[in-house]
Amino acid sequence: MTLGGIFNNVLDSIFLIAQADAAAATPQAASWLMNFMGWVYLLGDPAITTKGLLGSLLTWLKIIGLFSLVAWIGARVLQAIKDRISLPALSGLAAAGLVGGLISILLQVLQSTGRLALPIIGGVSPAIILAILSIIAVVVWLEATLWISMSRRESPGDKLLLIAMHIALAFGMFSGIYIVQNYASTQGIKISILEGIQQGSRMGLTFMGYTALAMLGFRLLQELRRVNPIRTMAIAWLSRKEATRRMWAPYVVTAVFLVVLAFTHWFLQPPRPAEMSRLFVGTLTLLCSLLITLMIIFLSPLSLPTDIQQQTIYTIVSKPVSRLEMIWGRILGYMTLVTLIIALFGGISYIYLIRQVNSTIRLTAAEAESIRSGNPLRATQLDEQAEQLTARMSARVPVKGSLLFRDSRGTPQIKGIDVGQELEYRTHVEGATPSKGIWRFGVISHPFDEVRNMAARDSGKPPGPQQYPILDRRVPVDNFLRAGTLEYVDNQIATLKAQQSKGVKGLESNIEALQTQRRPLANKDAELKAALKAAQTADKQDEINRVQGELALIHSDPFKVEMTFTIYRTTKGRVGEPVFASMKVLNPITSEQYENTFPVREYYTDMQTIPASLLVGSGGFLNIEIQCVSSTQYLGMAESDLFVLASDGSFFWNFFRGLMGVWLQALVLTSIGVFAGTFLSWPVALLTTIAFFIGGQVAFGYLQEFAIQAQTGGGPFESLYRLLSHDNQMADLTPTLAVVTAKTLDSLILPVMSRLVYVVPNFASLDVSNSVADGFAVTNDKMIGNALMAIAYALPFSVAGFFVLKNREVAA
Amino acid sequence: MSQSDIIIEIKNLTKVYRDFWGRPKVQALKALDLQVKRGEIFGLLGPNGSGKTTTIKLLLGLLFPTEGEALIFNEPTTNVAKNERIGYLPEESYLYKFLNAEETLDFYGRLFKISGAERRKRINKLIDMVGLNHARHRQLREYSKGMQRRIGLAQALINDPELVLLDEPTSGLDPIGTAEIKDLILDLKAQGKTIVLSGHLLADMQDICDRIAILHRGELRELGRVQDLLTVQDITQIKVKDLPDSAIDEIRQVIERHNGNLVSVDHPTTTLDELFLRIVRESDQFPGRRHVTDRAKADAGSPNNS
Repeated sequence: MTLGGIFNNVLDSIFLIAQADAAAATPQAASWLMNFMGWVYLLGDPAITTKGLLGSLLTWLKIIGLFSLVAWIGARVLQAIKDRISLPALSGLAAAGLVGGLISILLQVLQSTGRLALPIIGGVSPAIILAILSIIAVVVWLEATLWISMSRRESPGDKLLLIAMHIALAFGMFSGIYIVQNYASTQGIKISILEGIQQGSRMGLTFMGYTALAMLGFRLLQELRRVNPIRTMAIAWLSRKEATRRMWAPYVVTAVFLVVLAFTHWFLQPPRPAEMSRLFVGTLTLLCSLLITLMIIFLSPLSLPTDIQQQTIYTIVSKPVSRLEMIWGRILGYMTLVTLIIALFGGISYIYLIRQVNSTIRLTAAEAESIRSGNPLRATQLDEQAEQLTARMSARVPVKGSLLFRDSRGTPQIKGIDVGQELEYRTHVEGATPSKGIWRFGVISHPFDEVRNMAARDSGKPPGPQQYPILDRRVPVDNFLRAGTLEYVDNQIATLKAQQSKGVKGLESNIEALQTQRRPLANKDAELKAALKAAQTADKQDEINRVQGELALIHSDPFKVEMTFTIYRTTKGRVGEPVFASMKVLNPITSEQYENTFPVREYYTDMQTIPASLLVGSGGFLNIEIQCVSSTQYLGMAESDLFVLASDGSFFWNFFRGLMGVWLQALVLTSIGVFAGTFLSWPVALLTTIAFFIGGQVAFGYLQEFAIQAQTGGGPFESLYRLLSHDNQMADLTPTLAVVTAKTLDSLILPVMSRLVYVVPNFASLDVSNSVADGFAVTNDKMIGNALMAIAYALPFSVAGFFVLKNREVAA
Repeated sequence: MSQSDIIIEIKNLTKVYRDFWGRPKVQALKALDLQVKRGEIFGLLGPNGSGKTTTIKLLLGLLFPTEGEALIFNEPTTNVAKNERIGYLPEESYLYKFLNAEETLDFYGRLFKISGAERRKRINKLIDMVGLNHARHRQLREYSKGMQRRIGLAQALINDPELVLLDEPTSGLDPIGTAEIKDLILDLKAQGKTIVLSGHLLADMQDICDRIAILHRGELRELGRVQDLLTVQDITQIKVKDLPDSAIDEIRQVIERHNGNLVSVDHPTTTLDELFLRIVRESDQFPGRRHVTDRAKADAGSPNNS
């Protein structure tokens, strides 16, 4: 097992050991220590985190802490170098360390490419020994430089911080070594002290990062006491005036928006009439996002550099204005402008959309009605179009299941049949065979585990252990069963009985109370059903309607399942004859099921209503199986193609949330722009902001690969070599001098660049316009998550801008 | 002198400008030591590049000292709170050209958290004071240099500061404007404010400063009361009105008897500024016709004047 793999298991093992210790009634201190070390590991290892908000917060703190540490040490070392306060002997040591480090990387590359075979000294490669010596030399130089720098400048806070950092490093180092050694001893494996030191260093650096972050946080708090809303608003007002009077930005973007909107219907032609709303919503949100992004890109990074260049900042800095007010005021000013523009654009877009789409729905429905008797097929198509348009102009909340397949021989599969369409992400089930797609809802095993277990069950073997995480895909039964209805009461009873069967005592009286509540409902139900039968026999429509209305009052509404499948045809079939699919909905707890066969609407969404009684006692578990009925045809499906419709919200609020996504993007971008302006000239700040946006919007996936150094073809230097030598990304390179040099340079810069990638925000994930355009609700969880993510970037950037500006001579 | 009477205290203040690599480029200020006392007008004099503006920028925290320290109101210059009591007019009028006069003063007033009513009162008073009532709604980009100086001065006074730092306040102003600014500075002093101003127009400084410091190439060359510095101790000047030539001869003989060395005997002259001002003021008093002085009449009557 690799060291990384061991570390990933350490936390679990520590807690397991702790529990085992507790169970064995070993001394409480040992158990307590183990738990404590578990938390230390969780807090200290930069690559370990936990689930949920705590995990996100922890990761965020670790990254910000490490950046704070690098910034604090880097700033002081740079200042010391500029002040020429280092001793000549120390400078020599630093130079030796850097050269030694370079040589050690070169030696490692030569070894890995097979160009050089070095003897192993005491079980360790000479390259590693040289690397350790180099690191020691650089660390000694760093220590000495920092202490000399501290002694020359009166800064008790910084001295205290430096001491605290050393304590943090020592603590991290000790904990890392202890954890690794403890794990090794419990597992009966041998791990070298070097690996312990390596883990200790990682943890030590994280704890040092926390210390630096705490210090910066303390200084920020001190500054926050000075922040005044009146001054911040004044700076915001100035930024708005500057944007409107000097840059004319809002007028320009509004003019462009109106011009584009005026001609939208000329160039926006939906491929299918039902796609109209999707196309319009997507385009208008994109236009809004594009214009606002461009405005922010040109406003935010230019403001401060222009202020500094034109020296107007002198009259601000010489007033009692905090640097934080200067940063936050600007962000506030631009965001006020963004808010107003989004409100304007959003309002216009919404009115435009409603008028266009509603009018199309109305006209389509009217046309369908007019031709229904003469051309019923076309009328049905038009009905479907109108229905699809209406569905898209809503905010559906889907409950998604987990999909797996059975093939035509009934064998469980993770995927369906590949029909050879490379660009199609759906896989297929074959018509008129046992082949089917199965969506599972509930607290379920991962599809990989489930396919294996199903195969085992089919062959009468016991299922194996779970290897993948359990998925929670429960149907929110309580949302579907209306209180006071028969299904609601039945579900309550079933739930209590399920608890009772698990050994929970004292539920009899509750069950009895519910039974008492159920009896009149059941009697009335029987009565109404008999009345309905009689009315149907007598063909009394009014009576039928009345009884059905009364029945609806005591029953929960049926729930809806929506699905969108594609059809792959191996034969043309008959003109106008659809491909049929069958659906079986099964409550796996009560074994109640519902079946239906329906014609598949190509390119459109099919909707089936399922009786609410099927959910009774399900506990959120449900299986939905889809088969293709028509022979020689194939039904294409993917996991998100079928969902239970939990609710149908307002399109207005969903559209508003879509615009909020644009607003959050603008917030992050503004913070980056203002931050860049605190230390860069305006052209460089502008380019930096653009680079951040492109990196986060277009190239985030690539950057993620870069962060984990998983890109094929090596780093930038190796890629350049491949480009020039016409070697493809997969080809093994001969270890020539050029290749070794390129790999060495990559080894130097890749670790640094891969860490820097973490500062690029994922702009694309803040954009929720696709969900809005598809008629899916942007949920509160998604909005809160996005808002937190935006703040997680905007806040550190703005605070970093404050520290840069605070330590910058604006008149230099 | 109590500590509270010292408004500015500069100790060993040194500023070295460095290049990107940290190599010293210019030593703008060398170990400056001085104090400014409450209620005085203190002038920083020197040719271009002598370190006057650098000193003011260091006092305001726009620059950080390489060595030494400066205290204002006994607070370090990095303390932003001290700026509550300071008014600053930069060397050039670095104001936001897209704002008009009212907006400019309102904006700076808000930075001092002055209430709305009080702001409006001060804005009207200051615009009146600097004579920009006619242009209060025009954006500053339309202002002449003199007008920009005036609104710059108004913004420096919006918070009714205890200490006013004026970097070349009369730069770009015509003689009338210069005189008005000088009067204003004296008025501020009368209100008990402390004023530090820099410049190289000696006549202006001489008129209004209580004490001056003369800087050259970043070093303090002279410091003291203006009167003391300008008095030439080894030369005695006697000014007499309506003295006949015979009496002048007698005085000459008396000086010779006492082994004195007569440097010159002449009639005192005024400065060009004063002459120009007198002419302008006289023409204001008698608009529409040229007012001729006695000397001009005499010149006009001379035979050489055709």
